Amino acid sequence: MNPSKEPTFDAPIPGQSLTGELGSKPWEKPPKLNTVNEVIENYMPAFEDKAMVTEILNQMESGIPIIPIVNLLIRAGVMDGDHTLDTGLLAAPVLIEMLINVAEASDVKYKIGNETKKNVEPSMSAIALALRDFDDVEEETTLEEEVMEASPMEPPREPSMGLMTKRGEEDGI
Amino acid sequence: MSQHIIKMYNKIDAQIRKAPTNTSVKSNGLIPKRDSSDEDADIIHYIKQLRKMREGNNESK
Repeated sequence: MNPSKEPTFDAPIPGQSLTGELGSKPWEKPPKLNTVNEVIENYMPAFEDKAMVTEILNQMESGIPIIPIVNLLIRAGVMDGDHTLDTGLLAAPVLIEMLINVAEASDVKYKIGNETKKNVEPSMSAIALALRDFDDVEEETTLEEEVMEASPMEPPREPSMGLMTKRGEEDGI
Repeated sequence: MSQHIIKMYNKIDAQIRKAPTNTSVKSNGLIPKRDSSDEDADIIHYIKQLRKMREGNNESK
């Protein structure tokens, strides 16, 4: 047995999360911030924190799009019990715009993460499928050629002009 | 989750780009109708302000 595929028992038992007391986790309590405005105002000071902004800019420079960063911020807020997931989602566009502003102010190249791919390169599986289809077509054509070679077309019979030839055969009927 | 954020951002972006239309109907009842346009309006307002700030910064560069 492959050692990497051995089952690991160092994981929570299914349903373990339901055994804790209700309300013991921050996200199980009522959120501290209830409106979108409050959520946005909660995040604004984070963009004034130099250390935090530097960290985010480093991530953007390394090629991470803005949307996953915002996703992380929102999830952290939900885990801390600051706000619910839906108010976080509503505030997300504002956070994206804030991060764009921060990136442009410090001349950092950024990707938002909602860009649609125009020239999508075919995946390896698509290439393999296309090659298999091509091989099938080639095999079919070679088979057809072999069949054609094996049974060449019979040349047209010339009407026999002998004395014993039937009338119909002579006329080609 | 990221997909939801992308959808949300694209929706708000499209609303900002198109001409403003006010289709919300105010109810006369004691309990006001739940209207998502109020929350959207706040978000749109924030985003417009942020974009204005960005344009101003880019022009001053």
